[in-house]
This record gives sequence, C-alpha cells and structure tokens, in this order.
Amino acid sequence: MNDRSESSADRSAWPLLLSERNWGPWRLGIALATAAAATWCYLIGEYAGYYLNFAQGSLALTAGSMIGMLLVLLAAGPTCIRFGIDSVASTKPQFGSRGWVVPAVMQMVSIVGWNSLLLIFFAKSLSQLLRVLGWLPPGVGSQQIVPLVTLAACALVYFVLLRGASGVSRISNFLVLHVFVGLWMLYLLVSRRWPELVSALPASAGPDPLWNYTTGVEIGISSLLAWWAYLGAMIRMAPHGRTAAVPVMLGMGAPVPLLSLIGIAGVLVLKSSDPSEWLRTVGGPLYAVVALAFVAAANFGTAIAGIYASAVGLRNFSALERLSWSTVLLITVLPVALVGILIPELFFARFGAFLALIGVAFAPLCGIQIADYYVLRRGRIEIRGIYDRGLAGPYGFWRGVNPAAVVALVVGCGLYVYLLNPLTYESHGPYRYLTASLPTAFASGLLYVLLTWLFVVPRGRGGYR
Amino acid sequence: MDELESRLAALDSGAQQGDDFDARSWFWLAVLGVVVPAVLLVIGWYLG
Repeated sequence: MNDRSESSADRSAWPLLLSERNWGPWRLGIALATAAAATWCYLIGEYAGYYLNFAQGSLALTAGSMIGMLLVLLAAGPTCIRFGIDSVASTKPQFGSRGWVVPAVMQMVSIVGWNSLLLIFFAKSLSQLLRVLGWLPPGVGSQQIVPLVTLAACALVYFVLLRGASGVSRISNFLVLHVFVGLWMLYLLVSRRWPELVSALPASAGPDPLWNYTTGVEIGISSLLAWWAYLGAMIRMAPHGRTAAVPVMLGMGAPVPLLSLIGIAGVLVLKSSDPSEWLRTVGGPLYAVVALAFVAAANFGTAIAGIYASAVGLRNFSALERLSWSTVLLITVLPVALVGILIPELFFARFGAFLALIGVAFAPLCGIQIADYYVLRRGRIEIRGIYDRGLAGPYGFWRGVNPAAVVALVVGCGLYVYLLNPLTYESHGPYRYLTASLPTAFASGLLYVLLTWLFVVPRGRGGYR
Repeated sequence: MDELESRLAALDSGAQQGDDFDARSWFWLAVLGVVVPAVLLVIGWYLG
C-alpha cells in the first residue's frame, strides 16, 4: 500500500484497513460531538417542549435519544467497524449490489436537507450577529447576506474537506468548544429562570399524559435515527467496536438531548427555542453575540461532517468512484449551496414536513439491518461481496435487488405513518404505549426475516449460509 | 481496481479487519442504550 493510497482512502468508499483507522475514542468522540451539536438540537427540544414540561421533556427526550442511538449503532455499526466502510456500503448485504441505491438516496436527501438547514441557519445567525455588532452597511439585510454567507460557508466546507477525514477531525478539535458554550447557555437559562421553568406548562399538550410522554420519547428516537446517514463515515475511522461504542453513545447520542434542553427550556419559558433570541433577554446584547457565534460554529461543524459522509456515500456509485475527491465534494456541496442561495425562505417554510417524511424510513432501515446481521447472517459478511457490482456475487439477489428488503422498508414506512402521521401527529394503534419508531423497526426486521426465510434462502440468493 | 483488490485481499485474510463489539462494548451499550433510558423513563413518568 503506497503513501498516496493511505492518505486518500478516507476520501473514497473503499474499505479502510486497520493501519488507516487511527481515531482513538477521544478523537472519535470529539468529532461525533461536534457533528451532533447544531441548531437542530433547539428544534428537537422545541418540539418536545410543546408536549411536555421541562422535567418530563428532558427525561423523555434523553431516553429516546439514547435508544435511537443504540438502534443506529447496532444497525450500521458492526459492518462499518469491522470492514472500515460507510453506512451506504453496509446496506449491500441487505438491499443488494444495485438495491443499495435506495438507502444511498435516503442518505443523500437527508444530509442535503439537514445541511441546507444548518448552513442557512449559519448564514442567518451571522447576519444577525453583524447587525447586533452594527457592522452591516445601511440598506443591507438578511435577504442579501444569507445567500452570500451560505455560498461562503459552502466554499469553506469544501476547502476544509479537501483534506478528507483529517479535515473533519481538525476542525472538530476546535469547534467542539461550542458544546460547552451550549451547556453554559443552558445553565444561564436554568439558573436565572428556574421558578418559571419548573412551573411552565407545554403549549400543545393533549389530554392524554401517556400520549404526550410517548411523543417526547418518539421525538428523541426519530431524531437520533437520522444519524444513520452520518455514522458509518465517522466510525470507520476507528479500529474496533470497543473503540467506538462509548464515544458513539456519549459523543453522538448524549449531546443532542443535552443541548435540546436549551430548546425545551427556551420554548417553555420564553416561547422561543432559539438561544440567540432569548439570550438577549436573559443576559443582554453581549450574551446574544455569544449565542450567535455559538450557533454559527455549531452548524458549521455539523455541516462539515454531513457533507463528508455524503461525499463518501456518493463514492459508492461507479460513475463517481473514479472522479477526483475535489469533484465529488463539489457535486455534494452544490445542492446545499443552491438551496441556500436560491430558495432559503421557501426551504425553511417546508423544512419540517420534509424532515418528518425523511425520518420515517430510517426506523425500518435499522430494523432490517439489525435483523440481517444478528439473526440471518450471525455476523457473516463477505467484504468481497460488498464490492462486487456484478449480479453473480453473494449479494446479487435478483438483478442486484433484494425484494425482501424493499418490501420490508416500504411496509415499515407505511406502518410508521399509520402509527404516527409525522405531518399531523395523528396517531393510531399502540403508538401511545410503544412509540412509532420501535414497533416499526421491529416489524420491518421481522418481516424481512420471514420473507428471507420463505423466499430468498430457498432460492439460494443473498449469500446466506 | 488493483488498489481495491489488494484491500479486499487484506481484509479477507482477517488481519486487517476491525473487531466487532466485545463484551465490554455490549455492557456499555446495554447500560447506555437500555438500562439508563429505562430508568429515565420511569423517573420521568412518576414526575408527571
């Protein structure tokens, strides 16, 4: 293996060798924490704060987040860790040598959506910061600033990621400080508004306390399930499962609910989850500047991790495999830049619906992967099969597609929407006892196992032994 | 493709593969992903 390949493997979808996977638990944990902490934490907290008071909201959200993180780690983690591959590549044993395009599209759409939001937030925060500092010229407002700053942010992300995973790690070492700034903001709000916080009632709580509580848990689970798109590209830089287990749970799973407390507290007491709005109320203009700087840093760090994961995922496509890393990065960043420049306000208005629908698919995906790895294959994965693009390999299935996985995914999505409509929050069935994500993941996994035993294995497809 | 082939050969041999979750990992996954959430849920419910 020559030096050039060792330094460029992290910019490909090739499997990384142990010698190239040199992130220890602290380095991995810092990178994950930097990726996890972003504006979406406030939004997640805000949604929970609509249904639950501070104490219950905090506990339900934290519990749900840790459960969601566990599901994601069990789904993509083992294959990514053992073979040094990303999340998209880990789906080839389940979806097939061509069917993996389905999870790849899910990953791309999810990450583009999230990163468009984050970089638009970054641009808005910076615009607000410039206004608070009095640095904006007369007549120049956010309508002019946001597109320009979004473009500049995309360019900065691009140049940082030219270094590949080391770019992610280096920027994380610096930006992780914002997590502590976030905790400081939480301390401010809790310490100065504690009496109001403990007595504040959620604005949209229904008459059924169990439904409200379960909804807080579901918000935590479904939010963390979206990390599936990011996880593989990050943890493949660590050498073993024992290196990654705790950093993932605490570095990626824990910061989200911790920083979401800012959103819960903010919306309950000050009717706004955005700390840049309420910190000015709590601590004056200087605190608002700090909050805005924090939001800018938080979103930038997460966008870097997301675009890196997305670029690695795109490398699985044969047409993009041979392109230079800089070109693949450009292709990855471009949709985010276009959204932020051309339609930022329209995207903002539709963003909640977009993400609610995207989140529906990750629960069944995790269920399918967990069932396949632990029940059907008992950990037996053929790495050559993952990189065999032909139809005769172990994961060739039928014309490269495993119908069992597709059916289980579709049925799972339908079940989720039946249990909890993510747009209207209308629920049915056992939702109030079980959430929507957990029964969906379980049912999709079970259906996948049954279909595989009944139809796939008897026909000798899928490389099952 | 030679690069990929040499990687696959190295991984096939097992020496360049990472280890799956070990007993200690499973302990912490169970604690952080099941036990702690369960405890938090019970506490949160009784606080309501």
